[in-house]
Amino acid sequence: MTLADYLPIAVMLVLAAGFVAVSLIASRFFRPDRPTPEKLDPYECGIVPEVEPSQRFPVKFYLVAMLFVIFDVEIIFLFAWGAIWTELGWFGVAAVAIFTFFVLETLAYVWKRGALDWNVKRRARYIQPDVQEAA
Amino acid sequence: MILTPEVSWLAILPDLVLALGAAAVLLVEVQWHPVTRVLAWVAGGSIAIAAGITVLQWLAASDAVAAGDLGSLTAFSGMILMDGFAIFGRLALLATTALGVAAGWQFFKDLGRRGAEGLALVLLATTGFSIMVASNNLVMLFLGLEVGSIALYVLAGLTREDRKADEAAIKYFLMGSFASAIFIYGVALMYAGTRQLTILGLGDFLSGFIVSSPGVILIGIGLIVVGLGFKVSAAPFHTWAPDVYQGAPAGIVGYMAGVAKIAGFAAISRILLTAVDDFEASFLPAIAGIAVLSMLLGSVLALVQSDVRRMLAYSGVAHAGFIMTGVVGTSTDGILFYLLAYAIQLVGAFAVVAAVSGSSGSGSALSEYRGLSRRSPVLAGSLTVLLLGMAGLPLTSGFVAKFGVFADAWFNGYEWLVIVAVLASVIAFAFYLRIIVIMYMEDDESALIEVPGVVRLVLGIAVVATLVWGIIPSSLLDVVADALPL
Amino acid sequence: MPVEMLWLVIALPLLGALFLHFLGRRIGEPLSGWLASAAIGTSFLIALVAAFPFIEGGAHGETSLLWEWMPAIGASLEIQWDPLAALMTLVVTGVGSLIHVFAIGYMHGDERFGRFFTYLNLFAASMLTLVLAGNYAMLFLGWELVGLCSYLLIGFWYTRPSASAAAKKAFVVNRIGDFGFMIALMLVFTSFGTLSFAGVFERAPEILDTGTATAIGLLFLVGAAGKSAQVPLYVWLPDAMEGPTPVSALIHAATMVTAGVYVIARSAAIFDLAPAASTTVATIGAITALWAATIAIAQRDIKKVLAYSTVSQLGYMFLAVGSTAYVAGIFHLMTHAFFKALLFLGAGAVIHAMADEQDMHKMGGLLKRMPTTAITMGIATLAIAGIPPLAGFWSKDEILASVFERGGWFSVLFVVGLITALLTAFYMTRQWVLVFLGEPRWEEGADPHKAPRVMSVPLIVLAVLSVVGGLINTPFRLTLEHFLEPVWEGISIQHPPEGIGMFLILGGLSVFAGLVGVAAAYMTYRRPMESWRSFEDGFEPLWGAWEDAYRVDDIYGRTLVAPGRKAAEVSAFGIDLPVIDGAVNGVAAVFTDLGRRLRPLQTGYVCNYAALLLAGGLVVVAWILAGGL
Repeated sequence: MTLADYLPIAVMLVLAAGFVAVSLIASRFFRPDRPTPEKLDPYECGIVPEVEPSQRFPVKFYLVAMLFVIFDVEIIFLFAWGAIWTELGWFGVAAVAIFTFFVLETLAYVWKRGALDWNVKRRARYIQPDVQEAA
Repeated sequence: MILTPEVSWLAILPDLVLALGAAAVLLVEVQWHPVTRVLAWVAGGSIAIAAGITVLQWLAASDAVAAGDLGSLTAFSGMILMDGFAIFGRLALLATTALGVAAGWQFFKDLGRRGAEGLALVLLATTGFSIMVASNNLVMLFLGLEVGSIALYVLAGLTREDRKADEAAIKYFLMGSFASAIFIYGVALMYAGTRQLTILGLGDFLSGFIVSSPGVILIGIGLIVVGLGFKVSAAPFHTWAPDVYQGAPAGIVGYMAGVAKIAGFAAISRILLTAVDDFEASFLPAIAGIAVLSMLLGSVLALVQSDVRRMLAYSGVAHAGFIMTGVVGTSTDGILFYLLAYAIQLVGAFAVVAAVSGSSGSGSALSEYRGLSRRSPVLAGSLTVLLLGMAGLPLTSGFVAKFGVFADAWFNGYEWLVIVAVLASVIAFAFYLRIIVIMYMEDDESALIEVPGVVRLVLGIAVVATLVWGIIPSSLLDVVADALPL
Repeated sequence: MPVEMLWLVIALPLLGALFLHFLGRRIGEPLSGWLASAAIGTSFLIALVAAFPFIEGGAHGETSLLWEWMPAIGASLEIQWDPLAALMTLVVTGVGSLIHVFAIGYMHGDERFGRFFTYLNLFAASMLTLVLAGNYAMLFLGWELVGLCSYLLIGFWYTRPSASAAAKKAFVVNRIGDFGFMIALMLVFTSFGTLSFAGVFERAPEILDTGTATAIGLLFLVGAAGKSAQVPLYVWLPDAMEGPTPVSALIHAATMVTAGVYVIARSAAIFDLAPAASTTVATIGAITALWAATIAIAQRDIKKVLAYSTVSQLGYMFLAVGSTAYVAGIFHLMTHAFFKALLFLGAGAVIHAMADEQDMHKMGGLLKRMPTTAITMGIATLAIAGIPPLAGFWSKDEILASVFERGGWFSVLFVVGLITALLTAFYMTRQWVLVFLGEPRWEEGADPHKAPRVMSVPLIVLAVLSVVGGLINTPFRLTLEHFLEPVWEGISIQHPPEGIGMFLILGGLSVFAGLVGVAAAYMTYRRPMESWRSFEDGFEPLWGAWEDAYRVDDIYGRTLVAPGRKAAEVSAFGIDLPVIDGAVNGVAAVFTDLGRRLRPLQTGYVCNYAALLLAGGLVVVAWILAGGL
């Protein structure tokens, strides 16, 4: 690997930076400039926020978000496998089967542990040491 | 057409069994809510099966070596190795895990419903480290490292109510991620410099070609050493160790520290001594420097501790230095002997700590060991043997281990390092003795300590191992002599 | 008694220790003491029977392999039974038995009576392991174990802070010695590939060059100087007197502290190739002898006098073995064991009688109250002063004569030895007179009483040995010399000059020195207290320096200990903030405080950790890079 091999990347970087600079500068010359307070707000979709969001989110949001990410990643893996599964043959099937098993097992576990239960009070039942065990 | 690698189930079956064991523990728990004992049997069963398969691997590997069929020692297109080194490393991990789970039995039981999570994490950590010691590919090795490490981070903080444990876990996690990043950066540089990712490939490449500008490779080696040096708590990458050893639940610290050391040093020795051994002249001085710093800093700081766990943490730093001395000696069998002997002593010592201060409790001030010989002769007697073993008294495995790595380093031309190492052992003797003296010389009228049967068993095994390998060293020396890396 | 049975010599006291450890409390006083004495006494009898072939002459040393430990490095449990080992074993078990019996009386009423004898037996087993070892690995095992036992026994009365401090000091100083010893063993192993005595000594001349032999010899000297309390590592021994007096007699006079002498004598084959190392040993010995003798003169504590006297006499032994007069060194080791053990036990009896008073200024006139102790101690005093025909005369004279015969630099050492002989006679007589003669200067309410039989019988036996013990090796009958001869076959040994004429001249010289010392001390201290106090004041400021032992402890404390402690603390603070007690009221306080300030404190630490990791990592990477480019 020599430094010359990195040249395309460097060119790409220069081009990207140049494009941003040129479009920002060019638009300043050609656009009309009539600001209003609404226009100066950062662009967001949905309704305009009226109050600051509270500092802390209930932890269940994070929990669900994390589970979502796990299954999302799983889909990405499956997608890659699906694209070439004929070529991978049984080896691929076995590998994906092992992989899927562990993901499914995770799903079963979080389900039974109540992580998917949105209701806080009901979820607590899964976590607290239950009465019959103590007895 | 994509070439799929040939499948060698034997090579990955132990890891698979451990992972399935982890899954089984979790599923059984949520489905039937059994008492923790059942889960422990499931976990123990999977450890036992994995160990059984590993023994089969050992037999297969020795047959292959005897038949001169070295090719069958690699599997999955050279991703996984099944050489003696990997197999012994895995056996050592499994032994440490089995003892660690048994020693932490009270801890898992006290966790109640969450005990399943603890057991599953232990199995997953061992899976990761087991992959790590057997992988031939640096990315694969990293994968194993992360699987193991992340499981350990969570284990450290498993007692969520305990602030100290939380703190330990967060610190461990932050620093660990930092170190992992450094490690993978080193791997990337190695690849940049050689276009090789496999350890065997690196070895062939570096001995086959003259590298015109080795700078990138050397930096890569350095970063890999730093990343793995963190895992084994070698100075100056040891800062997390005292906090984690002290904060994490006592029942499980011995296991955590033991497996991390085994896997970390297995990876260090494999990479340094088989992949990049052509650069030995460049990196051995720095390794010797790390060894010196670890031994002296660990021993001196252990001396001023007033808490047994912190003391054991710093003694662990010193031991990392001693094992580094073995790396400087460039002979893997001394390292393997040391690792197994030390890991078992460590698990045993922490079993005593857990029994004295309660499974998840974190009070382990030296003063709590006053008169332990009265309160529990079993604990005091076992701890005495284990500490003397760590100190390296003759007729314990620690002496044989130290002697082995010192002799290797000496014969490799690092006489000065051995002299420093002896100096450090001399200092180290002091703080081990301090605990022993406190246990025997100072009376305390507080209550007797009940020692559960399973802890007695663990201590019995650890003590017997320490003594047997010390009195009949050939029983283990002959085995490690066969456990060579490919 | 075949040599294969000799393991019993070690096993008996070891079993005794184990037995007493588990059942000592149940058996109680005095039975556990008698059991321990019986264990070591039986060892003595076995050793005596086994030693007969050597006494009859012609028998060669034998080894008996008990257990192949690490055959590859020549480390096994292997007993070497030769005249040297036999003599050492007899001294250890013989004197040891007497001290065991004495301790039954001395430790009477101590609540940890059983525990004391556990340690005492354990010590005996360890010491026997050391002297019976057939290779350096086993010797090292014994070496470490005697150190451990000594540590346990000095700190036996651990509730006294001074006892714990003394134990700690002994441990630390001995670690310095052990460091040298371990490096020496490493060198031996890497040079020879084995640690077995047979393998090392036979091949020493062909394998070792002078440089390596000198290095090994000097490192052995470091180890021996630590264990045998030589300059500059002697400082732990006087403090070790915090232990019970039988311990001082057994470990810190008769046996353990002579281990250094033994190791050098045992390694004669190596020292034979390293004359420079031998000369260093002799010089260190001579310096120690004189240095400690001057300090002993001015001590007030009855045990401190004996402690410094022991250091001084060990110096004599080093002087002997350093001059390659190994027989003389071992001979003095033996006679010293008799009379010094006797002196310590006698001092113990006095302390016991005076209700734990150790200050000689508060004694005096005890002759009438405890005649047995007074007479036996008197005999020991004359013996150590070198008055013929007592034991000390013969051994000391042989050392001085051999050193004189060596000539050259050794003539200087001879003069030092002669001055020391005079000082020795002086301070020992001073002690005896201060304790037993003159007006009673007791504290009010003191009522000295006679020692019980169990204490006085060992005193009498030792007194007899102190009288006749020297007769086994006189210029007229060199029994011991012939006995020990086979040990040092093929090694050049320094002998005293031949002929009665030289003996009379040199012997006369040392007797004269002894008599002068005895007479001067007697005349000075026989007089009333004011008189000898003014005599002592006349020597100021020298006397003060002696009394303060030249303030060596202070100097060590300021120059070595304090910076070391400081360094440990600085590194602890710099790198590991929440460590030390007291600094932040301990770890607990830090973590309790964490409740309120968890976050900022924690990020602070992790930042520091990460910074250190980064910095360390950069150094390592740079180092490797520098090594390869």
